[in-house]
This record gives sequence, structure tokens and C-alpha cells, in this order.
Amino acid sequence: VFEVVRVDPIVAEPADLLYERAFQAHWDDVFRFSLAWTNDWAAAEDMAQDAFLRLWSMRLRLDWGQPVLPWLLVTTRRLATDRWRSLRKRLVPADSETGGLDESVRARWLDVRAAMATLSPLERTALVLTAIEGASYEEAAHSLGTSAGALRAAVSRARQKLEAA
Amino acid sequence: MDRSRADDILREWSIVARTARRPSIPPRPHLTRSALPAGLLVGGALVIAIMVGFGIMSRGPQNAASGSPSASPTPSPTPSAATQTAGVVARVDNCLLQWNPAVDVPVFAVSGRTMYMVCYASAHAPTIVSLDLDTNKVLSTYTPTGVDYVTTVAVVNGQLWYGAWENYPCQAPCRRVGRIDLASGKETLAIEQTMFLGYADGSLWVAQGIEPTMMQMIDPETGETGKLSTAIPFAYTDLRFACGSFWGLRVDNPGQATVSTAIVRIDSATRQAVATFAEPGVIRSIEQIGDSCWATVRSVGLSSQSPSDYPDRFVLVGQSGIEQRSPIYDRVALLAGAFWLVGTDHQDGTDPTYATGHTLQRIDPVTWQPTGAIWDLPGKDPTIGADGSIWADDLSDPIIYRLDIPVLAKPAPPPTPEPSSPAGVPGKAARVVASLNCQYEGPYAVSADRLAAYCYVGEQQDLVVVDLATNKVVAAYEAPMEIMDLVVLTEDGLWYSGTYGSCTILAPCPGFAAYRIDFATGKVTMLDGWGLDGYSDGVLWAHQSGGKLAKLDPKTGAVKGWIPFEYPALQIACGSLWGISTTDGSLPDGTTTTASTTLTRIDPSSGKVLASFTEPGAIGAPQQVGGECWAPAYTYSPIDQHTSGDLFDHFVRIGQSGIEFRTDKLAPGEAAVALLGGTYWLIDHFTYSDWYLGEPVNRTFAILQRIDPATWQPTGQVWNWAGSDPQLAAGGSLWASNERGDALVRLDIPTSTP
Repeated sequence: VFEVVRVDPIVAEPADLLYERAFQAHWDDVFRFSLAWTNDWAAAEDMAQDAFLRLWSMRLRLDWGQPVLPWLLVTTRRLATDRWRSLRKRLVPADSETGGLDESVRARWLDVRAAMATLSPLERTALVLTAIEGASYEEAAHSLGTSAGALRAAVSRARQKLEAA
Repeated sequence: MDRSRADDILREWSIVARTARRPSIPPRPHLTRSALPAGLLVGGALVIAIMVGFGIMSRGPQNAASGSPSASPTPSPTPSAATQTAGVVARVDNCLLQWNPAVDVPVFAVSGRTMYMVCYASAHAPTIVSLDLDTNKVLSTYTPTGVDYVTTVAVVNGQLWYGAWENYPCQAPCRRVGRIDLASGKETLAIEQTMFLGYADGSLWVAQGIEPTMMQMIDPETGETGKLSTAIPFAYTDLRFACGSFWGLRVDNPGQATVSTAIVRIDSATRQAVATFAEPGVIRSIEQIGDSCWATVRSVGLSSQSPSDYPDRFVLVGQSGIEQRSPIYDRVALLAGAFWLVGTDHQDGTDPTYATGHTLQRIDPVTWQPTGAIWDLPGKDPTIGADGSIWADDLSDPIIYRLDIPVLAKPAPPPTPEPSSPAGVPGKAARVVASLNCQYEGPYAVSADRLAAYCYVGEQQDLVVVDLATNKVVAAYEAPMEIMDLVVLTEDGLWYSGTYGSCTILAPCPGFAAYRIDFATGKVTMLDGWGLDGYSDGVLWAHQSGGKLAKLDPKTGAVKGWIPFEYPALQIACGSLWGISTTDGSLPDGTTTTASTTLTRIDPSSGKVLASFTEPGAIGAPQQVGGECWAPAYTYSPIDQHTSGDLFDHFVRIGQSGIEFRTDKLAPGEAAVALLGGTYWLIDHFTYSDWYLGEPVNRTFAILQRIDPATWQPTGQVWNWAGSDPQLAAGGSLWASNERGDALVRLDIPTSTP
């Protein structure tokens, strides 16, 4: 019988388990990031799922000792930059993307969605990351692939637009 | 302090957003089973299983010659064929090939007219025997010391290289590379804790680690690890060289019904991982037959109709996946460039790895039926096809026999299967004429003779440049983590922009920049802080921040001027700059009104607005068609109930100051129109119900037909394609992702007007 004893094997948790933990820990964050970017509930769910599928495909190669959320957010934004897909998503009738929501939540979401629709994806996401998620300008800029200065300007514009909305 | 309205909105947004329900299970690629809710259906990642399912269990008329396998009864040696006893033309004593559970296939190499075979006189006692193929005489035997099994041999410059498992106890990974001088028989080099992968493309390759993710070149003189290395997308357990490529293999779920082999193909010339895919079962031998690359696969539970629970089959290994599957057999072999059916004493469902091969009969790869004489192999098991002969183990004693079973030295290759689609799918199946074996999600740039695409395999991301005349990859550049725009592809270089730095989980992206690759030198010039927008008339358009656009010299990147620009998006088409603004029709009360797109034509020299007009709905990317400017468009109305997919349903002709012409709505139902390569297309979809392991699965075919701009009616050939909708046009063809989503393929669907 063939037998090999591995001496001093590298003990690590299975990547599948680490993936599940990342999902439990960060799905909400990724969804809200997606929601801020798309302003579309269904598209945000799709995008969050796509981001985690991408993470799944890389689970064997990642250094799981490092934070995974920054990678997830950058990946999510990359998934979101298909401008035509995004455009088509925006053209979906408003009630079609909220079919899975409770009626009370749906009404509130439509209100806030309409207000946020005046903002660009960058402005919306920059504002959500800094004002709601507590990210620093540098952290938010990293996730959005821009500079801290541009991020600060986007947040400022977003606030002005919301005040006028 | 009073809260502002912005704070109120944000607070409400936060409350609502936190009501989102996390899915109960993490998403993973899985089968599209029609019984599942649509929300669980996950695009391209599922399709490997779908392809497999179709290959195994496709319904409808079966055509064995086309390679569409069926669940027909397992072929067995034809009873009417004459049985002949294989004669022994030579024998090698004290040699048993198969006493090596570390590898599933015999280990041998042929150099000139000498064959080097790894033999076992007893367990844990490998020797390497050199044999004169003309005289069938044993020339020498070489005995590596301190090893249990030899897994790889190669002869390079008079040196015999081998890879082996070391004697127990040993230091993980218990692998060694050894070198024996053929003249003296002395071992001249031993590299511990290293796996020998083989000799290929003029180089020796090794790997380190238990489940390595790299392959490295070593110096044949010193054994030092060289500079060249190749990252493998997954941790492999076996890596072979066949059909001009390296094949990294990892068997998942061994011994279970779900056993599968993950496969990565590494181009030996570029050393790039060019395709990854998976196949149910265990990949065994891989061999080039004619111009094609075939493998044998052993599976578990592929079909209840098989007399065995461990059926074998042949699979045609293409550039990016399994392209054809034979019917299933009890046991098969690829020997001496031919397909063989092995008759065994294995009739009880046990693993045929340990069964005795009693008979051998050729399989005709056109009909997939056994043909010709049945060769009786009493007490022998066929193992090697080399030098036009079948070699077999004696199953009682450690003896190798060279048999007189005739094999064709150069058998006629099986015919290339014509693309076929299941009965009922409308149109002619599009043929793949070239494949870029990486996952493509855009962007791309195209010139008259080249295509540059940004794509990736696993974690590795590349800019790949294809010669459209030859369909060959002429250059591949390691790309930054994220490329936003490929802007211009010229004879001497390529401009793109994106983030830079180690933009991975380990480190944030430091910023973004524009880059230019000089094809002649490979030098990359970076313009830090710039994003690119487009190219027209010798000007590269770029920006650093909002509010204005810069004109850059495409040769040097030098700033030649600025114009104001205040629009959310820019299109450069039809000789103009277009500022594009879209509104989605959302009203503050949550209702919707008509969405619209505003096109603003801008003077590229001054930035002044020349014209601005608003069109209901959405307008896609304009293209110059002849002397006119056309775009696909979608007239949105709140009463429309489109929920997904490409929604463009008509075309518009854009004039200097407004929309000059609108076609009628050309796309019925969920169909869409597209403008690709200057031709107008109607794209619909057809869902085909298939079966996989007894469960229903769905495959979606894109159905394509040209639209005649004279009549605005569909015209000519109807095509079907089991992959994505066409993503681009280049070189006069449509390009789309394949069904698995791991390749961008060039289809034989022309974009030129017939």
C-alpha cells in the first residue's frame, strides 16, 4: 500500500470554510456597497452574488490571513463598471427590482432610491461609505479606485445634491 | 443641531439597506436545474456542468461520428470479429511496469532508438531500463537510490533525469529530482524536496511543495532553479507534458461519484495558463493523435446502463475544454496513436484499475465502434504503445512483452466534428474558428489587423493581443489588477488606463494611471493620475479630474490642450465627441416616467457645444456605418415589462443636430438588436432542456440573424451559439464568450455584407 507521511504539514483551515466565513461576515457590506453604486435592489443582489462567486473561484489562492473586504469591494466595483449593463438595469421599471421586498420596506426604499437617484454612482457610493459605513476618505477612495481628494469632492457634491433634492 | 436633509436621507437609506436578507447559503457555481428558482441560477460558472451533462446524456438522434455520445449500451468487443492470439516479439525480464501506484500510467521515454522504461522487479525497487528498439536488447539498467517510485523520466544531453518519491521516512513533500550520467551510470545530481515535471520545449521543469502552484525551469548543468516560472491557477497534484502543452491536473473527490479532474492547460511557448476546466472522472493518459489531443477518462456512475460502475471514455481535449466525448466503455486505452477497447475480467463493478486486460481491439473513432481483430492477451495487460508496438505486462511474473499487434504508425486522425446543436434549436450552429482562452469581461480595443482584449485565467490578468489574420496570440502582457479602458491599438503600441499597483487582497490600489505599451520594446510608459476616454483623429482624450478633457499626443502622452467637459459619459464616434447624460425616469414619489438620453455634440477643438438633443429611452454606442452614424436604441416606457437582458429594440440614425431617423421596433418580445462591426443584428434566445445525471438542466442558445438596412427585416442565415451574446466584432467576425465563460471565441459568423 502506497503511503506517504507528510512531515510538518501546513495546517490550515479549508478554503471552503474560510469562504463561508467571509460570506457570513461581509455579504451585508458588499450588498450595501452594491446598492449604493447601482441604486437598484435586484442589481445589488446580483452584484454581491457575482463578487462572492469571484471570491469562490479564488479561494484556494488567497492569503486568508489578510482582510478580504477591501478585495471584495474593489471586485464589486469592477463588476459594476459595465456601463451598458448598468444602463439597462437603470431602465428596468422601478417596481420590478423590488419584488422580493416587504411592502413597508419597498415603499421606503422607493422614496430613498428616488432621492439618491440624483447622485452619480461614485457620489452615492462615496457618501454611503464615508457617512454610513464609517470608512475614511482613504479607505473609500481605495474601494472606488480614485484619489482621496476626488473622493472628498464627490462626497461634498453628493451632500449638496441631497440637500437640494 | 438640526439634522440636514442629506442626513435624513442617509439615515433612511441605511435603515432600509440593512433590511436586506443575506442568502441562506453562500453562492457557489452549480448546475442550472430548471427546478431551481431563477435567483439561484448563476451564469457562466455553471456551464461546465451543463456541457458535461449534454455530452453525457444528450437526447434526440445520436450521431456517433459527430461525437455526440449517447447513453447507448456500452460497446464491447464485437463478437463476430476474429480472435487472434498476440505473439511475443521480445521480452524484458525482471520488469513490471504497473507496480507503481504513484502514477496511473507507465513511465517511459524514447530518445532516438532507445526506450527508457521504469520497471519494478518488486515493490519499492524501481529501475530504469534502457532498451534498443531495433534489436530489442536491454542496454543498461539504472537504479536510483533511496526512492520508492519513479514518476518521470527524460533524457537530455546524455543525462538521464528522473523524478521520484523518496523512501519513507522523508521530508515533505518526499519528492526528488535525480540526474544519472548515461555513460557512467553514476548519479550526478540530486535535488531534494522537488518534483520533476518533465522535459518540454527544450527545458527541464520542476516544482516544489506538496501541491505546487508554480512550475519552474532549472539549469540542466547545476540544477539551480531558473528565473522563469509559471503560476498555475490551482494547486495541482500531477503535471504532464502532452500535445505541445503542459497539463496540470488535480483530482477532486476521488473515489466518489462526484469525482472530477480539474485541468489547466499551460502553453509551453508562452508558459501562460491558457485554459482551466474540469471534467467528471479521472483523466488518465493524454496523447496526441493526428492533430488532436485525446485523453482517457475513468469515471464513477456515469451511467446506470454501463455494466461497470467505473466506465471509461475518450475525450477530445480542445484549446479551452473538452470538445467531444466518446460513448462510455468498460475500459479503454490510448496506445501507439490509436484508440483501443480493452476487454477485461472485470465484470463485477470493481475498479478496473486492478482488472486484468485479456483482449484488445481497435475502436474506430468515426463510428466509435470496435473494429478489426480481437487480440487475445492471455496473462498480459497492455500498458505502453511505443515504436509502433503494444507492450504488455505479464500479470504473473515481472516480465514486459513486446507484442506483434499491428498498429498504424500514423493513423488517420478522426474527422473534426462539425458543430451541431440539439434538434429543435433554430439555425445553424456557429463554429469556433479561434479561441482566446481566458475569461473575458472587457474592455477591448481593435484595429484593422489586431484585437487586444483584457481577460484573465484565475487570478492572472493579461492584456492579450491577437493577430486577426492568423488568429495567433502575438503578445501577452501582465496587466494591473483592473483595467478600465483599452483605448487605442496601433501598429506600434497600445494605450489603456486602470488602477495600478498590487491591487489585491494584500494591498490597496495606490491609484490609477494611463499606460502605453510599446510593442517593439515591450516598454510600458505610465501617466500617473490619468484616465483615458478615447481616441480620434490623432488625439488621445484623457482626464485627471472632472470638468475638462485633455488632448494627449498618442506617441508621447504629452498634453496638447484642454477642453471643458461636464457630462457623465463620453462617446467618441462618427468623427465627433458626444457628451451623454441619461435619466432613468425615477420620480421622487417612487413612480417612473419616461427615461431619456441626452446627446451633446462637442467641438473637439474648442469644447463648445455644437448641438444637444434628447431622445426618449436609451441610446447605445454610436458607430459609423458607411457615411452615416447609427446606434442601437431602446424606447423606454413605464408600461414595458422588460426585466433583463439586452433591451435595445430599434436603431436610430444620428445627425449633426438631432436624431434623423428611427426604425420601427425591430425586436419582438425579449429579443434585442445590436450593431456589431457595422452590421445590424437581431438577437434572440432559445432555451433547450437537457438532462444531466437524470436531472433537467437548461442551456440557452443565442439565436442571431442579420437585419437588412434596406428593408429593416431579418435576412439570411440564422445562427445559433451556445454561449454569450456576441460581445464584439473584429476581423470581420463576431466574437463571444463560450458556454463555460472561460474563453472568448471567434465565430464563423461574418460581419461583412454578403
